[in-house]
Amino acid sequence: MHADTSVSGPAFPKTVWRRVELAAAGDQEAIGELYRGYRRPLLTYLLYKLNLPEVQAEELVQDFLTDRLPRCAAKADAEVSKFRNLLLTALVNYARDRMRKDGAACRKPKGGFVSIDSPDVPDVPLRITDTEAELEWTRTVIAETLRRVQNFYNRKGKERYWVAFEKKIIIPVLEGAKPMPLRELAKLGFESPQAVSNALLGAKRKFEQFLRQVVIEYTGHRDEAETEIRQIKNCLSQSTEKTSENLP
Amino acid sequence: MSTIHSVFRSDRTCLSKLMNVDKGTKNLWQPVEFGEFWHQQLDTPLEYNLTIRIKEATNTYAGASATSRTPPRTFRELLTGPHPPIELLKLVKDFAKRHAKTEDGRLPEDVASMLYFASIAVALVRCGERISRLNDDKLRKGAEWALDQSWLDEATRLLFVKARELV
Repeated sequence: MHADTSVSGPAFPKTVWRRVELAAAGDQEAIGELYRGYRRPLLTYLLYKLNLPEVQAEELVQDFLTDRLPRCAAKADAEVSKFRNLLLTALVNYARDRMRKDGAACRKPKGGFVSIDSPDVPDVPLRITDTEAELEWTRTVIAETLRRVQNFYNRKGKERYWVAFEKKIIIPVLEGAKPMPLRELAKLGFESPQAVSNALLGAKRKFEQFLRQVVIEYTGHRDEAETEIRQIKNCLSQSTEKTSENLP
Repeated sequence: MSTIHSVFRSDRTCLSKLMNVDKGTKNLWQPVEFGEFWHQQLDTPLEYNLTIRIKEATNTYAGASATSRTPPRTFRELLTGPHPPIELLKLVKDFAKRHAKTEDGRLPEDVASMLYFASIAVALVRCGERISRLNDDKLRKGAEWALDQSWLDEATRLLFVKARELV
């Protein structure tokens, strides 16, 4: 493994690759940093993509990182794939194997068992290409960002701010629905149209703020986070297919 | 399924739009919503908007209000009253100009522009004073733009008709 230090290549961000190199050599501190940096996005993927119940997803991500993180670090190749893509692909493989091993049924914390064939549990992909992993990671970052925005307003007792953001901006953008009109938004408990405007402006800023926070956590560096955000945006404007080989 | 789940069902184009959603409020509102904003703005207490520091203003809300024994309470009272305090009109003009120019203004740009031209028109029609450096041509164009807006209320429409006759 050798890390490319250019900002556009797959090796970026270099802080991560430094940690990966150390983790591959068995450095416990580096393994811990990678664990803390990637745990939450991977958990979000299991919760919102694979639709796993929270306790099951928590257990799976913990087992995965404990069992496979050092192995992933050892197999990582900066020339082949970004570490995050490799980790996500490995998680998908791990989740699929784990569910098969558990015998087409997954343990559910309360209320018995849920079948892997249940419509509530989407199929775990058999194999994902590096391009797919890149897009899935991007989705994961966006989902985690939105989760934090929602949690922030729920904790503050300002659920209406999240609802306004969701109905006026997120759902129309993601699902093509009509934005909720001002008259309906005002019924959420805002004192004036200016207050609705303020809430939406605030939510957009929170989205930007939490996006940076999520990316900084796994890139480990503020400047590298900015480059990563640019790469994420670039990923969304591309459509070329690239297959990655030798993923764990 | 929550909205967050839908991120994993969305294509690149939609996700890209979400990631690049503009930071301000410029494209947030539709013209059909401007009327509602405008009516609410007219009923907003002046104190609610004018006590914040307005960079361009040469007076404060307290100072401008003190020029009248019975200062108007709302934007509507100021813009429709027979003897509006000129200092308050200047303050409203500066407040509106600031919001019309900034991308993250709490008011839609068109509503802020309407407030800007309305304060100038009131000063001209009811006080016989010019509170802006706009020349006659620009004032006339401003009045004509205001009269073209379908969401404008009748009282303000009549105000702009009178203002247009004076320039």
